[in-house]
Amino acid sequence: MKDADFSGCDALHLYFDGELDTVESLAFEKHLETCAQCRADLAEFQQIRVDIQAALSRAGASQGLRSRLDDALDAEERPVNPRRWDWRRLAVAAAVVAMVSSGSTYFLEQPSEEALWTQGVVLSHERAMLSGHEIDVVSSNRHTVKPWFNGKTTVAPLVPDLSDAGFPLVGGRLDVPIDRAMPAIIYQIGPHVLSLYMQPASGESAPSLKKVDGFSVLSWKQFGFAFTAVTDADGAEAGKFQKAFTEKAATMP
Amino acid sequence: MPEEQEQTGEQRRRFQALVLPHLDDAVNFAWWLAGNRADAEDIVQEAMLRAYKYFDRFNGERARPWLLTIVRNTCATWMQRNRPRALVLVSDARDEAELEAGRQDESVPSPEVQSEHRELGRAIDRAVSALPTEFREVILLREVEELSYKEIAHVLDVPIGTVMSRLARARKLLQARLKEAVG
Repeated sequence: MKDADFSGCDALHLYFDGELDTVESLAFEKHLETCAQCRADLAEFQQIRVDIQAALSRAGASQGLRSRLDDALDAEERPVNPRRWDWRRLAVAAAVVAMVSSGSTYFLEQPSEEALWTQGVVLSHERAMLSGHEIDVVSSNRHTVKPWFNGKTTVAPLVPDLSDAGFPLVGGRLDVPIDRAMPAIIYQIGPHVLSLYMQPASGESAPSLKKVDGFSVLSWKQFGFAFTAVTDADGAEAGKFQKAFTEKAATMP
Repeated sequence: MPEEQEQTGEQRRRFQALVLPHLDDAVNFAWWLAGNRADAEDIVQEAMLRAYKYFDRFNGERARPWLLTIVRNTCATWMQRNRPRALVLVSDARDEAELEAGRQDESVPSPEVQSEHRELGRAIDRAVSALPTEFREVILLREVEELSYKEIAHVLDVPIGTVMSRLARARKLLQARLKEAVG
């Protein structure tokens, strides 16, 4: 947060909320050493945060709301008369909800994070292909593609040149598969296109292949990233790409 | 026409992948704003339909802050429409019985931990409930939803400096109230 100059005690909340940059944080930590009031406040605010996150009551969506929403969205979607609602069905649903929710227990059913992620990347790859906007920066030169992401995302992508292995670089785009912007690097793979999503992650894992809606989705962890490749090429081709990518990336500085 | 249908199908799937995962957060936020579950669900249903209608304006931001903005705005118009001003003040505090019912559902490891946890939970619930709305919402967005100042500023439609000063004030109020509760 930069629109005013906060120092000393004034920076307490900014520091506590992670809104200061490194230099400002260090300056505040210096201030902390000499200010007992800030130290005491900080400890108490931290305790309040922990307590809120551990013990504050939460409400979640009931099954009733979920099915009412489904019905309402179906009604919205009907192309013939998109504004018409099926009030009678809604009324029945509402009555059922009223009966069920008086029991006060509700269930949360959510797909796993991994399933959501896979669904998210396939959709954004598909969307990019359909809209014809698959590329934000068109270049076969990795020295053009990589810097394009500067300032657009905090993730600095790995962009090896794989043309020797038969996978020419097509370009890159900024994509938001779930709720966070990240780079997708686009390679050509025979007559097909492959989007490679990357986000920082620790550890290593061997590639695992999934088939989703006719797309090959290959995920692995290496070099401090979690990679997910989405392509309409088949799994074997995706596997070859993954091998070439890993070999080349390993030799990069 | 088939093309149009395909497009709406695509839109629905995107909406389901990007926005629907945040439904619980939307309900929780509305619940803390409106004070009871039935109203919260009404508000969220309306908000989700609005979000769906305006989904073509959604571009690349984080979906959760985007949805919470719509929930908050929907909540404001809903309150104006459904609650006379005097009633807002009275029902502003969360329904104690409802909080208690929510608490019964929680699965906590051992009875001792559970009772301690409940004790703490009650104190925290009361302290947060007692905050004036403008302070309560900023605490929820920061400590529960863990949004950045910039995102909170966007949700509340206020300058970032206001986010900071409200948070500071809200924390002071919580601090005082919780001390009172313990002491």
